[in-house]
Amino acid sequence: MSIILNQINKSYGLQHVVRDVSLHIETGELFVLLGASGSGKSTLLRLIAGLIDVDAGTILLNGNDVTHLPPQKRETGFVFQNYSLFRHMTVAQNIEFGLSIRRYARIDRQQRVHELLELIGLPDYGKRMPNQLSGGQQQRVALARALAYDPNVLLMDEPFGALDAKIRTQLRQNLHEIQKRLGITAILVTHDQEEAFEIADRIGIIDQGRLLEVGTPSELYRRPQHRFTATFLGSVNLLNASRNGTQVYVGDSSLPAPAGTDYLSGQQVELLARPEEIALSLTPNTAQGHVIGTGIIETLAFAGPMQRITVRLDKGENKQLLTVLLSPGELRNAALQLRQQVWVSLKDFHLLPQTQPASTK
Amino acid sequence: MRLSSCSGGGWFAPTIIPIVFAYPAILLVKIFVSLPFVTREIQPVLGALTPEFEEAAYTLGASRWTTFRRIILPEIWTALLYGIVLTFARMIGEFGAVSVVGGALEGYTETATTFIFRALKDRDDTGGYSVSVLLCIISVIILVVMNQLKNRFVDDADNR
Repeated sequence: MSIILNQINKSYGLQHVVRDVSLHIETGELFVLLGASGSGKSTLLRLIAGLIDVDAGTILLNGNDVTHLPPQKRETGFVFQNYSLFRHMTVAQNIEFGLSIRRYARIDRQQRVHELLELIGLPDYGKRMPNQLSGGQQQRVALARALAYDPNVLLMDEPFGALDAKIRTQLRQNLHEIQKRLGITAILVTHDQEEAFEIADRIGIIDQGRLLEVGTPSELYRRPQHRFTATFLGSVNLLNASRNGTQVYVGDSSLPAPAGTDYLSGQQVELLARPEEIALSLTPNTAQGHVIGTGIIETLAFAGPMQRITVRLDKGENKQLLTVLLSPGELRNAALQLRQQVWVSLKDFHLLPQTQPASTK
Repeated sequence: MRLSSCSGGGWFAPTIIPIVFAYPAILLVKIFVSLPFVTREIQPVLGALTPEFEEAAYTLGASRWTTFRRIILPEIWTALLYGIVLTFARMIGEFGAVSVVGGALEGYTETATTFIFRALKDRDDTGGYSVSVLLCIISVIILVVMNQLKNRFVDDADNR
């Protein structure tokens, strides 16, 4: 079941909530719509489900135009953030609800419920009521209910948002396994980038109703095309630079331009360096990657498995503050200390077109 | 519907389908007076139901009617029943409205309360007190039922 969205638009009064969204999702893909709260991602999901009507555009599910079909006829499975299990029904009755609407025989319904309870790891829970389950268990039942009638596509609106971190991680992995095992096309909406990175085949970045860019987690993290994507996905250092010929000029240094950036030649650019791609050394000879200058270590902070260090560059516009992440081993090897002068080098970096003055995020 | 003013009922006194001073008037006025009781009980329960319950049912393939019958109604039936019982309790004691629009015509639009009024006026103490006792017994039964339903109402709310 592939999904094609073509120029979808939706407004509430003067507020344009979804703007010109076009997207193609492949069969069996787990696609994640990632964006901040209020970006329009949940609205887009509801438009696909048919819970809201589009103002303009078309929605095709496996080649069939469902744009004006009611949700009952679209054969989608929807999982809500707050589970929305029917409180007066048992777990089994919840799961088989979609089957009873479709008039499956009782024996078939029972068989299917049994299979799904096994799939979600709750084999003897059929007779329990929703209020007897934990949040994580309720969400698993909600997933089983949405899968019961083999929907064409599974739509999930921040399904783990109401759960604590540990359960969230566990359920995320369960969901990924189930989705891969069943081969069902799925769209998951979230604001949690860790969640998106972990389970997505591809991610679509949504900002203010627009689909900014689509790519694999690695592509979007390492080679984003938009400044918003770069700053939304994790911490980033952005430096003003210029690109000419085969070189990138940052402050007094020049670095070889990355492949695929010829289109930026002759322009002012922003150099994007992730904190873990910056190396620090006491001498230029021991620097890893391309040296861009020197700086003074301002802070050294413990950040779990990594050390977070801030370095104030000696030269350059506004003597920019860079955020660097080093492993404990790297920190020990370089024997770094506060207020020490260090050589700053880049192991990897990317270029973005200049849209506004660079700053560290 | 032909309008007639000969019975003094104006718009509600048609000659083809009598309304005022007839059973329909009593029914209408009792509905009018009792609706707030039912509404008051159901409204908070309906308000607590988020739209996602209905949306879940729609995405699972249920029509609006099926959603109302199988999802919404079971959620509100305790409140609905409680509202109905409250209404009944209110209505068996209704006097003013029914005597105005019904006319309390003996054997035609007379209710228990208007009968008691007429009986005591006509010094038919036996009749008056008998029906009064009957109404008291019915009221006590209603109170007991209301109490049971209220407890059930609270239990249902706690379980959610």
